[in-house]
Amino acid sequence: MTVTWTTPRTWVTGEALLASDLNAQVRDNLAYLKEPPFSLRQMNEAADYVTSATGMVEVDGSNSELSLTITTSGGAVLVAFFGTFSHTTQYGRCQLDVEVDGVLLGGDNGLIQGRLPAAGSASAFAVSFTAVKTGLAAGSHTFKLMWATSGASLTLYAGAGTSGFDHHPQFWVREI
Amino acid sequence: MRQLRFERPPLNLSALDEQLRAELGAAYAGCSLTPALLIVHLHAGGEDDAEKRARRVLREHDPDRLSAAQTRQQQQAQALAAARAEAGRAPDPADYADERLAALVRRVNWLAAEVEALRG
Repeated sequence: MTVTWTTPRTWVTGEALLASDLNAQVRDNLAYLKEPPFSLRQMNEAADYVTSATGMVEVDGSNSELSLTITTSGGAVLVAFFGTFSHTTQYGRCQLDVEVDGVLLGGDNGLIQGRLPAAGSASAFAVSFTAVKTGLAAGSHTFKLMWATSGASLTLYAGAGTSGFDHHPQFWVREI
Repeated sequence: MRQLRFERPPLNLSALDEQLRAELGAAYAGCSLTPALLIVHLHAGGEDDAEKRARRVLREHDPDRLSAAQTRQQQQAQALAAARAEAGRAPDPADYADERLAALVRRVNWLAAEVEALRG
């Protein structure tokens, strides 16, 4: 059974207490608060992800592995990601953002940037963020992980068995 | 932004990126590899034949050919390896009668050991 959120009722003196009201107001709302809409992707792919894009593009533009959809009740949504990256040039940039229903949450150069201290996997570097998206109406919303770099190529290790870099990034969203 | 999608072929992404950038100029926004696909990103409103030219670059792409940056990195690595080989064994402070020179040699050897440790 999918539990939905019911706007808390303002009770008045002498009002009859019905089982249906108690179930909706207490049981279901508590269940909803314990397990709000949530979606998680932990990566364990056949190959790592790579990009040379200098503008924000989807990290997984092929089968939307990193596109998460939840149906919210109008609350804010927590978005989190962590992953390990390397770049083919020293000081290569790793810029991350999240597209929410087609609009970038950060915009400009994204939500966060990591600069890789040296070229190659010897300087593999963890980048993570937790962000909040407010102002969403109740309904279905889609969150996509986006990235850009400064040219050459940026790699996200995705549990593909790369020796010494078989890391498993997570991307998740949760209504709060 | 427009996207061209191809099954992930064997490729040298740095070299392909360099070739696409040279061929397409401002119309080119980069390329990405997912586990399944190669995606070429083109700016919207780019030249009409950009897609055709991108496909030609991909057809002609040789994954064994290095990009200019990769060639430079390879040359730097070779030069460094040659310099290391030429440097040979560490100088022995006992070979220097002048205590100031011997102290300098000990210090150089210590710094070389620190650098070696940092390189891992």
